[in-house]
Amino acid sequence: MIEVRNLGKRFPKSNQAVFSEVQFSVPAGDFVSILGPSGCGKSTLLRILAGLEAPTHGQVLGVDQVQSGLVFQEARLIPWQTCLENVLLPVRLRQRGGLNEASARARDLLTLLGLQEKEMHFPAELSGGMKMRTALARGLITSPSLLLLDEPFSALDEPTRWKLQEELRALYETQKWTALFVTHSLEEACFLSQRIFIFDAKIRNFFEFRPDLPAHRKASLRQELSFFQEVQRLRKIFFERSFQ
Amino acid sequence: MTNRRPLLLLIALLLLGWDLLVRLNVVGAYLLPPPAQVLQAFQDLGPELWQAGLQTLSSATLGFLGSAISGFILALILSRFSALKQAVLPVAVFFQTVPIVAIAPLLVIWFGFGAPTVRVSALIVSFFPLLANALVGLGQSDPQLRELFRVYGASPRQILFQLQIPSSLAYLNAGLKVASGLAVVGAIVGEFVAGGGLGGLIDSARTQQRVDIVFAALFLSALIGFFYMALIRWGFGLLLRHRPYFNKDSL
Repeated sequence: MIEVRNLGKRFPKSNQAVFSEVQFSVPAGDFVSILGPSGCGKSTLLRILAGLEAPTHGQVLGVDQVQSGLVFQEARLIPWQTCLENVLLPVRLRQRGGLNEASARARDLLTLLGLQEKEMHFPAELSGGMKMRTALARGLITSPSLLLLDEPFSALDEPTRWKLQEELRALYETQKWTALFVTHSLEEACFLSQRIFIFDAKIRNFFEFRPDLPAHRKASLRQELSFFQEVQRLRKIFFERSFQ
Repeated sequence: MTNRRPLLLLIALLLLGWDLLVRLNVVGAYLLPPPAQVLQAFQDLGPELWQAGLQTLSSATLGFLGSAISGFILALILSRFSALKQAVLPVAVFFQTVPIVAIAPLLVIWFGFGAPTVRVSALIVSFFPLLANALVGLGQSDPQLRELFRVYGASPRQILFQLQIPSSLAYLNAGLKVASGLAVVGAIVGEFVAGGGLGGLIDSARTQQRVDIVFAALFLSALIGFFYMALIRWGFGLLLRHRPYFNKDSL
């Protein structure tokens, strides 16, 4: 269980509040999306959870950085290392467990993500979608209990984005880590998550929305009326509360 | 494969132009000996010239190696401790601006005539370019990748060896190339005052008005410079054999 208590963040120079008194909890194994307009502090919140930034006040409980994986908006691959070497980076840096065992796991992840033939390729030889898949495999290589994702698919074209959402959701359903996923996309948030934290512009805090969708989600869900209705319901609430 | 034709053509044109200048008496042969005369000087002096060349090569190499190793180590230390960098860098810049010609007589007083003075002179002249380039290179690693390393708890040592040094290769290459050329300059200036090597040979040829020997010695010193360049290029080629997408044109 992750608990965020009275979390606040101010810009150090202007002292302007990004958000304040943020409070929520995420049960282990939940997929949660964080939704809000640009500049509302979604990424800052994620960076605080990842230990990359300190909050101005408040507490984050239940996050073990060693047990966390982080996927950024950019793939951030090391250009002189192959796809497989990039996936293995966290294992090499943390020096935990054997590299052979990790290599086998890395290959399994790359296969699950359709990159089995690309493991010896360099980032320059990969498409945007392949790079992001590699970054996703890198985020999962240490078998994290928490995966933090900061708009990982925002730079991809729509078909690739849909494909990656489906792959991510399938991985989540088999491995059941906790996920915190920052996004701008209402459809993406609905498709991926059990719960969505939406930024409320008036109180500069987040409130919860639960899409009423089945636990098992596959590509065909996007064609269903229930999905369309949930996205519409989310859109209405989102525009009412986030853009006041 | 590098196309050498433009270079060879340029060299041929320069030699032809040079020869014509002398043949047409635009410049007197006592000021600018024709290429054939310089070649003759190579033959006449033979072992003496090569001996001097080897002496300069040895001193310049030792000075260059000293500056490369010490410059790189100092850059590693300074890149790690910014307060130290702020203290040391202005002093290094100060020493860089003092001309070696002015320091060389002092070096003779400290180290005596001969090779030690020449080596120190080569080291002093070639030290700063490597330090400056290595420092810039070590600070050039992608901030996003640095953040990624931080997320995965990388130690400063891991960041240095797995990110900063691999990111700085183009700068290290540039620094080594500039430093190697300057090491030859430093060695020859050192030899002007401390004797021996090509510098000593140039100095004595000057007093005898043997411009052909001066030219022969100059060509030999340029050959030493080319030898270093080729060696550095080969070394980096070897280092980068597993990095197919490295921009090799930057080397």
